[in-house]
Amino acid sequence: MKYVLRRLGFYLIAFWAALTLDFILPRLLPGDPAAAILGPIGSRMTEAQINALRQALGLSDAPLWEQYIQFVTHVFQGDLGVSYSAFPAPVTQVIATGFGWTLLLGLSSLTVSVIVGHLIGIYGAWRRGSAFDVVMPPLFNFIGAFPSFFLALGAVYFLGLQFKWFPIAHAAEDSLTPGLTPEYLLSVLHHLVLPMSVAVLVNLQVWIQTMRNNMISVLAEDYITMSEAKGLTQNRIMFGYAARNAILPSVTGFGIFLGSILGGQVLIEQVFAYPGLGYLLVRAVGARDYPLMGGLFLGITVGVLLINFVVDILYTRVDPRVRAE
Amino acid sequence: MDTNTAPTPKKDVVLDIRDLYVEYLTPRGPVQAVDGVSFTIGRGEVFGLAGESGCGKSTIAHTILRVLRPPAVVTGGQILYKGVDVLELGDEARPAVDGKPSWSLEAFRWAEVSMVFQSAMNSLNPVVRISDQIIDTVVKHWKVTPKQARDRAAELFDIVNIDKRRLDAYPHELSGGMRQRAVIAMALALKPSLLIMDEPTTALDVVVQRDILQQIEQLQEQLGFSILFITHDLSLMVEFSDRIGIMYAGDLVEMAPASEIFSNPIHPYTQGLLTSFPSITGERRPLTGIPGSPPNLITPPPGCRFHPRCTKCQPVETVAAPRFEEVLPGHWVAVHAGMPLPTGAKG
Amino acid sequence: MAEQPAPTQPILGAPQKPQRVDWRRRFQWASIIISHPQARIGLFIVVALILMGVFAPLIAPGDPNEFVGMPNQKPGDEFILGVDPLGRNEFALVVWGARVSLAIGFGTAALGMLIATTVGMIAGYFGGLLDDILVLIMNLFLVIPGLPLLILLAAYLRPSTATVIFTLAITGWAFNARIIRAVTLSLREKDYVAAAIVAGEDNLTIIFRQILPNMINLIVGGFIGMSIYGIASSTALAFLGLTNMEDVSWGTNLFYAQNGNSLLLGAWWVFVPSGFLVALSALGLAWINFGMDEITNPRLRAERELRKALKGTKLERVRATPVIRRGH
Repeated sequence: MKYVLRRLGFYLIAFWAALTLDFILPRLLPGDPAAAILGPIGSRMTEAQINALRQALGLSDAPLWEQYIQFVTHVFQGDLGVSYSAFPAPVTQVIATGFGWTLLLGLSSLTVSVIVGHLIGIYGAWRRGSAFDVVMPPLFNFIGAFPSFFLALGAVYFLGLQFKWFPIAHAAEDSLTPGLTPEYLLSVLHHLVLPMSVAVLVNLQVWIQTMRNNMISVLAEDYITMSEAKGLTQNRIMFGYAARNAILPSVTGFGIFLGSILGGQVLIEQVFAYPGLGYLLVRAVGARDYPLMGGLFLGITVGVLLINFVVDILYTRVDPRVRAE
Repeated sequence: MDTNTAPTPKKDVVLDIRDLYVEYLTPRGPVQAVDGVSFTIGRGEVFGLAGESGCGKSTIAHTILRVLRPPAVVTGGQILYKGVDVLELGDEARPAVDGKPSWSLEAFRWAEVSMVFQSAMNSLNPVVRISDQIIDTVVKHWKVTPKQARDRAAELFDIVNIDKRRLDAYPHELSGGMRQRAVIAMALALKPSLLIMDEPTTALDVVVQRDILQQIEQLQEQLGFSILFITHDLSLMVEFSDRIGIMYAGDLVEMAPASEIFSNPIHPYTQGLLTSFPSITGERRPLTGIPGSPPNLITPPPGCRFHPRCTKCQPVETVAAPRFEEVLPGHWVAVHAGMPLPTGAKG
Repeated sequence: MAEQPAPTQPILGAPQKPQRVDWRRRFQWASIIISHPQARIGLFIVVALILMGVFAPLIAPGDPNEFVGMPNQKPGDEFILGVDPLGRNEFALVVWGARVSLAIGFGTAALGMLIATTVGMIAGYFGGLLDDILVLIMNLFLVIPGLPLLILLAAYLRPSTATVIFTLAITGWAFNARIIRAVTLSLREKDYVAAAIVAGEDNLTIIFRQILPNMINLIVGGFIGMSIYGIASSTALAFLGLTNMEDVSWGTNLFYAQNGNSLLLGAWWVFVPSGFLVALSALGLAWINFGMDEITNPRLRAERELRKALKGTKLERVRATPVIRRGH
């Protein structure tokens, strides 16, 4: 229990850090941030419009710490400002549209790559030096060395444009109305295949490498020798004794990779114009929509912290030594 | 090292190791860890194997169950368990031949020969309950239901005097002594004929050590299994064993009933070992110990591996390979020409 | 006359001399890399790419940004790798691209490892409250998603090669800092450090002369890892258009490929070479690291010997000590 509370405390601090970053960054721009943001267009804007932007950014003439307090209270009230490029939609609304897609793509690709990757890593370590072990881990290392967006581009080119097997943009057919109809759900699935496959391919090597290394360490332990001496079946030893222990450092390390995997999803969303938080973030940067950028960054961070927290709770279920704390 | 004829066959021989050679393949060359060792263990006998760290005793123990880790390779000899060579066992059970049973390696392990490892904490799966670690073995070998296996586990806990309520504990929740007893219980689960104990008490404090050994003694008298007892603590072994074998640098240098080793050590290494231990009773005498350090087993000394450190034998550059012979009834020594022997001994 | 004790006999209670640094042994890793086949190939690849960048003016003379012909021409006699959507010589772009891409990669690694080593060693050596604070900061940087943070920072700062290196180092140092801290912690417990403390050496000397030399292969490994990270991330940033687009790099090439609709036009020569070279540099660096790992881990070397000996014998399903009978 103490363990879980400690982790929660840490995630709250991380949230606060991201929040503060969102506050500081616009104020780092030299001069009047609003003018800097608007740039050359600013001269053609009316005073009212510029003031609206200032308000959207939360800028005022009040002392800095006062602005900060106001900023933080707004966030906890669910107000992240107003999007400039999607004016007058509030930032939270824009985040809401993207959150679901990012989660769908992220969780589906994570699940598949984690399961497949761990199995390959387990079996590779178990049969070290075999044909399987000599081919599979290096193969996925090779695939993973390519930039994710490069593989995405390749997938779009071959499977999307040449063979026309899969659609190459968006999360679902534009002509369909969103809903729980089988038509729409099928379209969603159809659009999910390519981006998910690319995400899985790129990230597989991380899980394979981690699990394989953990297994190799665990296989050198005395309790594995004892389990072999007990004449248990190979599967029982491999899964019940070796993998069961090898997965523990994998779970704790999960969090570190989670950030880079979900963060890297931005690139895949970009190539496939998949309307998740990453895609929206890049578009916001293009439109210099600073409130939206900050809000999206916060949204992505919250997603990552949330999944991290879930994994931590899972860890207490899986390692009885931690439960004792 | 040359061995003579095979040791005298006895009627109830459980384990018969003949001319065993084991190597470790390292980048700097193969390490000759076990160099032609032979001995037998009879039914109900406690055989102690003693020697310094690295002498090969633990290697032999692991090889009997074929769980020696890479980069180890068995390069010669036989390990006959009830007449069947363990080194020839494979994935599938072979048909019985000459009335001798034959098992698959998986079936042989634990049901016929089991092992108690040095550190109980390290030999138990830290994330699985003790009960489950016993149950999975019993279910696999005896093909019973988990409930029946659990009853067996409870039975075992009774035998070793652990409260049955601790059955579902995790290893880290037990005390050191309880863990060691749990591991012994596990080793007896399938009623093996031979129990190998690899330094079972080294990690425990002296009081608990005594306790455990007494327990083992009782169990052994009750259930009648043989024990291969491995330790570097000679004084511990002398009380506990029926016969003792002394190993040095991969060779067996002396083998005799326990009392004789203590009262009449013949090989210079054994003599050196006995003078290395202070005795609480009796006269004070100077601790002499053995000068030098164990040899490099990639390029061991030619002939007798002990000769660079030996103070008794004639100073010779190299000695012809010693032969393991029965110099007194039941008393075997690795002898070579020119070695001082007590009167009445065959040289 | 009283006998002087022999000079080699330590006087009871005097501390042992702190261990002298054997630099030859510390740099053993360099000779080791050459001997491992995979590492050798990796080194060859990386050096070849570096040389390609260095000698770019000779290999593809002229300004790579120059307009040379009709956009999106297929590779042919005049242009080895065709022409990109902006009408530039693709071959020149790929060759010159190595300069910025590799420079950013190694620059990031240098700055990042400097931060990581400093922070990691301070945290590990001094412990206490300072350590707790630094660990918290490390963990914060590890948990906050990297690329979104990079995008955010890049959007605010003026894009240039220097700012890219700066932001990449800031977001990437924590990974290695954690490892260095852990190793420093364990090294601090070693006897020769205790001896140095007793001998009165000040902290700075101990850090630099006792602890640091033992971490050299860790630092080199970390440098190589961060280089991979630097090349990959800077390429991603450029692909998104968040870097100085005037400096030709593999990433900017890919940006123009995407924006020039090269895919729809089937102009594979615009994006394949650059992407391929990014992957190649990552692989080369990874292989060097892999070779170093295998060599420095004696257990792995021993197992290689075993595999060689067992070549040809069938692997049984059940794991057991192998039996290979030889004459004795």
